[in-house]
Amino acid sequence: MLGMFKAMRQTMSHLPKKKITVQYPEQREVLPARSRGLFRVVIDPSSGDPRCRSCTLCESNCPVQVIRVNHTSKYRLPVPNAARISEARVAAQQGIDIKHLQPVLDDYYEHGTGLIAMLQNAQDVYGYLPRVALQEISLQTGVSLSQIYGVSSFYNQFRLSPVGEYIIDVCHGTACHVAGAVQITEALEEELGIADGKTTTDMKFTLSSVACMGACSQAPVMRIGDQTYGGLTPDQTRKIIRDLMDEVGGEKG
Amino acid sequence: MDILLGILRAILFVVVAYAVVFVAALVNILYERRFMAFIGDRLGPNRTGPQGALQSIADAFKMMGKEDFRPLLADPVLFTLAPVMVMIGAVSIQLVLPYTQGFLAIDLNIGVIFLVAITSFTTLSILMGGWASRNKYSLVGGLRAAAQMISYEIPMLLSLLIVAMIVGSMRVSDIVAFQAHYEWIGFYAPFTFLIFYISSIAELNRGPFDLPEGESELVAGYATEYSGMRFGMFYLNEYAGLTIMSMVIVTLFFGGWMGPWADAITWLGVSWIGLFWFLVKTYILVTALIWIRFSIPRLQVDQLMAFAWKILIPLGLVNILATAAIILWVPSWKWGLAVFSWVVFFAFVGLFDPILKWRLRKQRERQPVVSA
Repeated sequence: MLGMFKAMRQTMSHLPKKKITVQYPEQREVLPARSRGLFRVVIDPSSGDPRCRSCTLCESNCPVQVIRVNHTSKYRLPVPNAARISEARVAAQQGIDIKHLQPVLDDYYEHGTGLIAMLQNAQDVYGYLPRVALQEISLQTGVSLSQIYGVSSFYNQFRLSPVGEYIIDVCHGTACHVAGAVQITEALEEELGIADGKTTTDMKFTLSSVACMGACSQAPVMRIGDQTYGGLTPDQTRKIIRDLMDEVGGEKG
Repeated sequence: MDILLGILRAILFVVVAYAVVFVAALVNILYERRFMAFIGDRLGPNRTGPQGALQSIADAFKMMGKEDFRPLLADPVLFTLAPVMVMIGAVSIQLVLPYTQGFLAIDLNIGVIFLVAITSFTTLSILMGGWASRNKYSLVGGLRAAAQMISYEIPMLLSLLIVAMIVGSMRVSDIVAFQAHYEWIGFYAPFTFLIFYISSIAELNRGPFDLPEGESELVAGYATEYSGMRFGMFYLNEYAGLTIMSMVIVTLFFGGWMGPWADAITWLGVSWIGLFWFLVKTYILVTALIWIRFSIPRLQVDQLMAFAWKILIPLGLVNILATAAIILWVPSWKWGLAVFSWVVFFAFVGLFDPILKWRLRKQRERQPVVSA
């Protein structure tokens, strides 16, 4: 019975103590400076869809790498039967072998990579994102094709049309511009017979202009494939590109 | 004319008794919730009305608004009757309790026996509810309640007999009159009070004796199948019981409505200061009941029954014999009784834990330790 009195003294001692309840709307605790609150997916009020496009930027930017995006669509596509799948594949297939995509998708199943990573890998396989590849990704992951298209058309890094074998990037950063990048591009346009940003009809060369490549000391700079050429003049450029065209058998226009 | 007045008087007192039950239940629920919250370093419900004063009323309306649901296979008569009957005990007890000077329904000459007899209605209705629900949890809860309440009625009755012996009357107003000039029976017989208090906690099915509704074992005990206002009746009875039982204890052991200037203001033949003291004493005891509930953990069933049958009842019997002997043969028996009862009280309080520990150690030594 003395033990009970001890317990009762203990409870009574808590009666006048300071209460830990926070009267929420009126009284708010000061959060720590680094607190970011609760992360959650914002819902678009008009459609009820999540605004998240599973671009996985948050995943790659998270400093402590705690975010993991595993996207599954709320609106699953109606499951098409096998015949319709193969029909769709045949219709979309324009000389593109879907088999090369399989390792990318297997990697997705294995590691649960995000959509953007998967699209990047797919682009590495084909050089661009063919419609049939997007369709295959959509069929196998359940992400709707429109969402995949939305992601792939949003980011500059994704190309939806095929590019040439050799991509010629001409730097148009400030230093290169001052050193005559415009003339370099003009020379290349003349030699290849295509406008800036286009591809030759034989699918050998794609000409594009990019922002700074980080090689300002060698301005003006051009990059063909992995090879970088610095300190160019228009004449040098013509020589380089002619040699390359002879080497790979490319044709003008 | 007399008959008419008598009927009016009866109606008045029944209305008052019901009002006390409902008001006390609503007040006690809120009081307990806030007390519990404060013990747990929280604030408790404080949004509905000033400091949460209207919380219980809101809860009551919520309960009344709920669906009146009866399980398909439940016994329709008993199931409906149980929550109605459960109020009988709480209401009728008050008819022999003097709230204050001149405010007493019936001055029964066997008031003490009436108190004990009417308390059993609660047991009966809880058992009825448990049986009629056709639910194993309800049944076990109801049977537990019956076993517990019947067991603890015995030490309660033994203590009541001591009070009757000391006063020499079973009339409740005599018991109060005996305690004038602060000669409270609680001071003469603290040990009797202790036994009565422990038994009354068990009678109320409250912690640490709240096994009939032990939610960790029995969902909600006998009230599992009840919902809405039927459950509300059980709930009301349980919480009104706090006040009613404290009123009984105050009347029997702490001088009822007696107190300083108890007769100072008399209006309509009723002394109102007496009522004030009665309520103050009652609520001190209610506080103690709540305090005990949130301090002491729940017992096991076997411990509960052992405590009644192996400790309280033998001690009560010894106590009744000793008290009778002292009253019979000791010349200034009031002093003798006070000395005896205080000594036993402190002995019980002081020796309970050591003896329990010693017995437990012995039990453990006797049983071989089985290791996996």
